[in-house]
Amino acid sequence: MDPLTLLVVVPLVAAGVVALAPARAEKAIRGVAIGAGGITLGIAAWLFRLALTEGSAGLAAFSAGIPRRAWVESVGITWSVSADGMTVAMVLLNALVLFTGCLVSSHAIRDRVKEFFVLFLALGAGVFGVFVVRDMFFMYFAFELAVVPMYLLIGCWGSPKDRDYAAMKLTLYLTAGALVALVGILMLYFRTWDFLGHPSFHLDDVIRAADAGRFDNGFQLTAFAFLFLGFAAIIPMWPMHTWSPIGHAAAPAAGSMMHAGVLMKLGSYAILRVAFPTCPAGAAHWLPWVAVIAMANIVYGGYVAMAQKDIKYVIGFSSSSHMGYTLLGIASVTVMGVSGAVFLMFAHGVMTALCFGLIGFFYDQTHTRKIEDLGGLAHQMPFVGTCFAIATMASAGVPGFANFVSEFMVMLGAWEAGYTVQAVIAVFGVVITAVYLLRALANVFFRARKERWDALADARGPFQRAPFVVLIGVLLFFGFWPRPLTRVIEAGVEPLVAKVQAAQAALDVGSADDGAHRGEDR
Amino acid sequence: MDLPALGYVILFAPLLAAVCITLFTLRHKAVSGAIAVLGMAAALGANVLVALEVFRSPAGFVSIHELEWLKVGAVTIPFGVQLDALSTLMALVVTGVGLCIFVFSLGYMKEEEGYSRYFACLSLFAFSMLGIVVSTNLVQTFIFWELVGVSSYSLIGYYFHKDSAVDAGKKAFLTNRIGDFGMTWGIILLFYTLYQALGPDQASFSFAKLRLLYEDEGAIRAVMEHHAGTLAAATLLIFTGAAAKSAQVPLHVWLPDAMEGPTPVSALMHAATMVAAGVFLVSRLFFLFAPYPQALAVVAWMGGITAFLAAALAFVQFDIKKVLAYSTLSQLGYMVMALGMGSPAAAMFHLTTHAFFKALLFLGSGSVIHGCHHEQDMRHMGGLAKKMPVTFWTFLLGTGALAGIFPLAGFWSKDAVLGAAHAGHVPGAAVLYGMGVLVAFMTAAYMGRCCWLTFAGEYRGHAHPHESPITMTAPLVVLAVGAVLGGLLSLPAGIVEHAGWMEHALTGVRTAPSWFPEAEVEHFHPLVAGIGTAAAFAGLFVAWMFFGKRAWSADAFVARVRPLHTLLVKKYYFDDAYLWLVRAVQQRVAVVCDFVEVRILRWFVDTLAAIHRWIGGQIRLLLDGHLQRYVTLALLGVVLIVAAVLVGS
Repeated sequence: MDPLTLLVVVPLVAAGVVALAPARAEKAIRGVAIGAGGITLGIAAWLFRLALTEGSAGLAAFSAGIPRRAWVESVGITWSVSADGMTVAMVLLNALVLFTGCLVSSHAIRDRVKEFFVLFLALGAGVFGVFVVRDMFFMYFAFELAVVPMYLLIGCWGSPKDRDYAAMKLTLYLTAGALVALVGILMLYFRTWDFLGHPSFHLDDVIRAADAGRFDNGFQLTAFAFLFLGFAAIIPMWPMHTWSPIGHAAAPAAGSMMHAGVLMKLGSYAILRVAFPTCPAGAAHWLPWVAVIAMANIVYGGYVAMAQKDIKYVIGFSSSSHMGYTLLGIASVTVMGVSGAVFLMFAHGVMTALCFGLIGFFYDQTHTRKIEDLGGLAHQMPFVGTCFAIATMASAGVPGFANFVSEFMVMLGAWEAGYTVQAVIAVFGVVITAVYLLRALANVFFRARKERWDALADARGPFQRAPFVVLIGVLLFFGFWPRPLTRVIEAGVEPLVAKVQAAQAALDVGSADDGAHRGEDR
Repeated sequence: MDLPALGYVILFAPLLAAVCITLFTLRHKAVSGAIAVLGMAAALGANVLVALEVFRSPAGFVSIHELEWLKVGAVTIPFGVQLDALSTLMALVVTGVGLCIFVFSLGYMKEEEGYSRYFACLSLFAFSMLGIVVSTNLVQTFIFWELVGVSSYSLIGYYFHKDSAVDAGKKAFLTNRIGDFGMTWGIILLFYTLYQALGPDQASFSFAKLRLLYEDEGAIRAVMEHHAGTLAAATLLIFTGAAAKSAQVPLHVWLPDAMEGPTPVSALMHAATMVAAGVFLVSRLFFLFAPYPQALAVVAWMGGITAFLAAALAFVQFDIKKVLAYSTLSQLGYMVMALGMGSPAAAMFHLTTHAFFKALLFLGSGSVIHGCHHEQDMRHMGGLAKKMPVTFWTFLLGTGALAGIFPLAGFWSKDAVLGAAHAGHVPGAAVLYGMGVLVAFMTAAYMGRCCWLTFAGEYRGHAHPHESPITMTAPLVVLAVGAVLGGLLSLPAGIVEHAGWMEHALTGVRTAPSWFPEAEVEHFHPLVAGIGTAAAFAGLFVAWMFFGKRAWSADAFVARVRPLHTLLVKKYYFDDAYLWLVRAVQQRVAVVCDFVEVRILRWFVDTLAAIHRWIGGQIRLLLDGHLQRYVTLALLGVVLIVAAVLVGS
């Protein structure tokens, strides 16, 4: 079996093993889950090394060596996996979050341990699936495989007050988004069927049809709109974001880590993976609007975060604010901007997983997330406090962390694309971010010691500290030395961007021609 | 070792110390302190080797080593070390003064709980600052620029249980963030303007390449013509960042509050490092400003106004550290004014001497505070001259240097600044020069007040003041030597013919393009020096009359200028204005956005869901388990279908 398929299979098998294990054997269950997470991390690291040493050509050769397996030939569904630079970055992210999420949960989850890990591993498998498959059907399928466990994770292990509402809202939004995108996928599918003479969900076939000019501009405009709107609900783009902060807030620690860390990235990933190469003209037409809406994400999300009184909501809204940078980077359609967006997806995923892991750590003991009730926690938990301060700095875009590099790339990309106003607003967004994050940090961890929290225990021992240390290490490493990751990402992003840029040029020529004709008419 | 390797040692030795402390020695106080001092000493040692090499080389010598840090498409961002006269001098200031402060901290922080954390943060801070100094390009500078902000946040908020310290740290960080906002924007604007005007090959973030570009006056004037305003705007935006770090009005508000940190931190931050960064950056980038007289005028006036406003504030402070803080602000204004007058060399000279005597004064005040058991109010001091002789004498030397008394360091550098102002060409240069002289008078006066209140007369406090231990007094003596002899760095040419490499250190700091007429620093201006000295003695005399001889009554004087006094006590209402902005504007926007979020967006979505639930509920009523109703409905359905078929056919 090829390594990419293994990424999906390993967590699934582990989930199966856990499901068959007796519920009492909690230690063994945790061991299996962490082991599975570790194996996927190993595979991801191996992939990253491959991408580093052999470049995109090496990845392409590696992907070409993996056979397609027909699954339902009559409708053209195949199991086919491949990897480019973007995949590698995302797979690495998911493996990191899955692994650290298992570690965090192994002491945080005390109740129905077996069920929790079955669902958590299935969720991880689903996300891996979306990242590695080339078949649009399986992409959809894997996405749903991720959403359903998320529903149960929030509904069963979430914070009692709002979990039902949050779980329902999240699931409805994600499913509705996927359905809208499915319309777009089916549009592509039937056109491709016309072109090939036989049905195929395979992305390569769709792209072949697109390259052959079978998708006229009008078709692309509609298909891109469906694909984009569907996926954008997952990012989440303003104003379709209301599911996200509450989803973050209600979920258990590992759930929020997975949700904010990886699940939200599926939307932007799918846009780049599916919508960019198949509907470049649609992208060229619609993306300037996206560059405007991204501002709403950044500024509005930031200000709403400023008004929150619940620490998880602060981070939740900050996530949707940060996703504005991703949107802006994508909308810039420059290698710099889109690479920055993908890099930001990675960096934000790691950072936010760290944040939620830490919040979960103290929430499990304080049972309150209200900022005014907390305060001075650094006295009782110096380690967690330090880590949270680091996470805050990373989130605020402080240099030395990967987040800074990626956001800076997005700003450069936006400027290069001519979105100067947006770039300036994006730069200003960093100030807003600093305001609410520093406020939250100060009010939760600093200030006078509160006796009420004297019983809190800090993270002790390598086992409890490892997940946080790993995530911080990754952020620092790529913050100080971004070159390896950006090189890998750039190689994956370049062909996608080139397609849309060509379409942009064609559109510009077209409108210039129209203008010329009109001039002649007069 | 070759120069770049030494450069990397200078940069990374403090970081290594910080990492070691964080990872291994958090629980071992003594070891942590030793590691931090060792890291700094290594940096200083490497630095001295570099200085010997650089200052012996002919003027204009520069050694650059770069790695490719980030490369996407046609844009490359390097990372490396640049060693020339400017960076070597600045690094010497940072590591030299820094080492004194590190050693001083060993004693001063002895009883603190977070001793190791303190030294880790201090080392990180030194690393960040050195990163700015040896940086080769704008982005690298910006990275360390922000890191300085972060590490200063951790140091100012060191006493994290105190609300005031936490808020001061936040304020410093956010004020600097606003400056950094301008700076980021400026960097991007500058880069892409050149990118579009000259193509991807010419555009660069590198100082060396940019400077080369600006060296060609014709080419740069051509770009300016096509992109009127953008380059000037970019330059001024970058200056915003410098203004925030160097605490120029109106972005100065964070600096006095930053006194919440431990005193050695104040010394480090406000003498040798953080606030000096802005002046250093403008010196480094002076070629950007050179073609724009308007930009230079903005810089000069900002500096002059800051120098004056801050000096006035120092008179109403009773906290000894606050007096020094406003004095720092005022002196920074001097430096920035010198920059605006077209003389980075004078600015850097004053920066260097100021680093020595201001660090000395801060550490001296720290020694006083330590001796008086954490009393900072000068009203509760007095008569300390006899009880703390070493502190007293060194403090006195520092005061003399700051006031500009011959032949202490400050005399020479202040003369250079005033000389530059005297010869400057910006609009209103004469007024600025006048303000400079006035500030010299004020400086001597408020420092005299501070000295007399603290050291003269009878002790008015309740503690038992005592002299500090040797780890604290030794750095004072070392710095005092610097405060006395610092002027040797750049003795004016008229006085000595062969000042050797030291003279070269300053003349090498020419960062203006060669076509720019830089104001002369090495010429001695007897008239300027005479007027400056007279102003200083006048200031000391006034202070003596008020606080030494007490012939004049300060209270009576205050009563006569009550409105002015209130204005000063309220710090010109800057803080209130910002607070209003935060509370009334920013927070209100946040509340409105939150309202939209909850009452409109969420309401809309929830209502949509509620409608569906309601429809579901209504349909459910039909399916209530009564068989009769099901049969009736089924029959009705059959009848309808049959009817439809019949009608259809």
